[in-house]
Amino acid sequence: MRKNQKIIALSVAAIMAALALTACSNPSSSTEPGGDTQSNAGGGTGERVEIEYLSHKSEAEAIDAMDALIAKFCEENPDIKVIHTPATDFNTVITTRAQTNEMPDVFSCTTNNTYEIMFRDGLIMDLAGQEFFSNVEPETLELSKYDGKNWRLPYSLSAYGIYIRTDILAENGLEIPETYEELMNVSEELMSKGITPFVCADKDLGVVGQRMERLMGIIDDNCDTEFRKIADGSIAPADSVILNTFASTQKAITKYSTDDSLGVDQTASYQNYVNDGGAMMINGTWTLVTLKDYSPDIKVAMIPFPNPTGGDTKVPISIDTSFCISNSTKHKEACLKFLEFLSRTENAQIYTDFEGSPNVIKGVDYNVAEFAAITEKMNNGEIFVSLNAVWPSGLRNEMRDFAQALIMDGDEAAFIEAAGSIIIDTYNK
Amino acid sequence: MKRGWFCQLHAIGRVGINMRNTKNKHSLLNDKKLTYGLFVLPGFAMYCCFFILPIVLGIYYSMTDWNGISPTYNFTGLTNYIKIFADKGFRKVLGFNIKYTVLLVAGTTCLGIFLALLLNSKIKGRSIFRTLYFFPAVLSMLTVSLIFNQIFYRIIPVLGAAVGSKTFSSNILANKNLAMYGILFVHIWQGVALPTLLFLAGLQTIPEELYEAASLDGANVIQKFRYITISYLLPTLSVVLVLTLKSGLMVFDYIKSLTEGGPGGATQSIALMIYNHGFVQNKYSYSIAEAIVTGVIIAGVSAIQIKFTERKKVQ
Repeated sequence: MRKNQKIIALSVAAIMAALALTACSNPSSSTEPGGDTQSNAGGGTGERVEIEYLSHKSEAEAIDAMDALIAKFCEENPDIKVIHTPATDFNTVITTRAQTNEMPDVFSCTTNNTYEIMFRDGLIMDLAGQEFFSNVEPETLELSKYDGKNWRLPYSLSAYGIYIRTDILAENGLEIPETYEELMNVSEELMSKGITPFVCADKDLGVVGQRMERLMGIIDDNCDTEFRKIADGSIAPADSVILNTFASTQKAITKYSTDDSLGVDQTASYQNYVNDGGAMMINGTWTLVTLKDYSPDIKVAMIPFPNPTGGDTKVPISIDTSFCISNSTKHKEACLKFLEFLSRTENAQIYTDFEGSPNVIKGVDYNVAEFAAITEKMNNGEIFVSLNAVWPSGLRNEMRDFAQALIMDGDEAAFIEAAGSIIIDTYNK
Repeated sequence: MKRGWFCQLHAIGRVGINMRNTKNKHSLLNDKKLTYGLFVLPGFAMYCCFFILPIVLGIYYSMTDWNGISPTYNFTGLTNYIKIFADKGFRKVLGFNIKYTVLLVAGTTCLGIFLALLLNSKIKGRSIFRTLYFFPAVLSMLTVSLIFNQIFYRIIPVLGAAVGSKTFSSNILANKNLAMYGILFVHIWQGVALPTLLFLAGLQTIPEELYEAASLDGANVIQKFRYITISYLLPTLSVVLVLTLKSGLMVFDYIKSLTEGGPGGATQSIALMIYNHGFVQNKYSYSIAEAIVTGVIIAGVSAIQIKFTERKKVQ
């Protein structure tokens, strides 16, 4: 009896341990960093290769665009299956995947220092010598490099400016502003007529941080140079033109926004804007599809945000979507085939038609009437790369809390002091 | 003589039998212990694997400068911990968390006991009320937060304007002085359900005779509540306090979905700060160090609280 008890106890213990460990298995893990392994695409074995594409875009239009392209790719390449995984909190997801050695085979990303660190540390494949780069606009290709190396296929751009409700301005006999002074005058005029000039999603820290970073670049696209001088003590934060101008500009925007803009998130701001809750919204080109979703007949035009210092007005652009291949992929050839497919003009056109952003693949026809003013600036070369591609990692995220505090209490000195401290700490790390 | 050696033999035999019986008893006991041990082993192994090991690894990584992505990092010793205690931001966030937790514990406990007393009384439709009051507990925190987000933004300002209240005419989550109370309201609304149930169960164990005897001795309602109800509820209170303390000190979901730590950092909690440092700013080792410091604080406070309630409970 005792012997039986022991046997039963041992058996149950073994079964419980086995059951517990089955949940931990990951049949699709690829844990070999550092390069290609088997190349199975169209291989002699006849096996169907599966690759995972992790997308940083969660907007329906972007997901639809990639679904259409993936379906076309899989039709052309029946031996390759692409699994599309859109991720909402992409930065958290990709960082976690990197830590657990579960990087996707292919992923898209925006411009961020995090991905450059990943490339530097060998998590992303060096794409040097790939032929498909010949179909990318050379200036953008140059901008997309890190340390002179190609690590991503740049695909679409985004620009930043002000969405103007042309119908509201026309109804009130107002011209579309071109200078900062005109912008302030239009705002004052609208306010006097009981119309909220700016719809701002100040509750959303991401929006606040992005606006802060883009405005600082608009004020001076050599912002990084001035910040380095603050960091090494050549300039005191209180004497910084960029920090002071940004603080006063933000205060002006806050003055012409709704009183409780700090309680308005992005979704509510879009809803307010399309429901005549305001005449202007400071945002990026990626927002147009959402606005059109809410209100297909909305009358908007995007204009560059005028330089508050009175200097040249340039449009901040960012490489909004790029495609990368993980170094740990087991299907390098299949992944390269996928990128080559995406780089073709006709396929980039499909993406642009769905998603609505300017594309950097040669020959893509882009003609969005709402972005005429922005496109003109881009064609004239009056653009600069958004500072999030230039600033050290984490700078924007650390400063954005204080930008929101500035919106809350209007204390310019407190913002400048806090921002100065962060700049000094971050640049001197 | 014959009887003498027979008795001695008998005695020796008895000793031998006793020793054998004792040995058998020990053997049986050892067998039982082995059986229990084997049954406990898988659970203990999982506990070590998913709880102890991550803590140990976390302590190790907290003494490095790992950014969460790079395969290489440097050992930095206690640098992160020194930075944490020197960081004014951490102290400000800790202060917010302590204030939030005190209010949460007070609100949840008082409201929970009050509701439990109500639901324990002989009222009509008691079962329906019990079901209704437990309903918030089955909803997810995120769902509740998103719903209240819309209530605070769209409904309360309209009602506030209608009754002429300037404070409630705008979104209280946009007000740095009121945002915390908005979050607290949502947290207590959802968080009071389970403590109410626990208190209700605790109230069922109090003998009625004690109240009768107390009444006969001339005790009033407050005295009966203080000396009988609370004394018997102390074990339950201890559990509720520990759970609510932990919930308050580690509050994340409500803040992330209602205010994201704003406006201007006014409602940033420790858990949100740890998340931002780790996943947004890639200061991974620093965020682990913050998590460990927070864990030690929670453990210390819980231990003090349990010791206090243990002494006071009915034996």
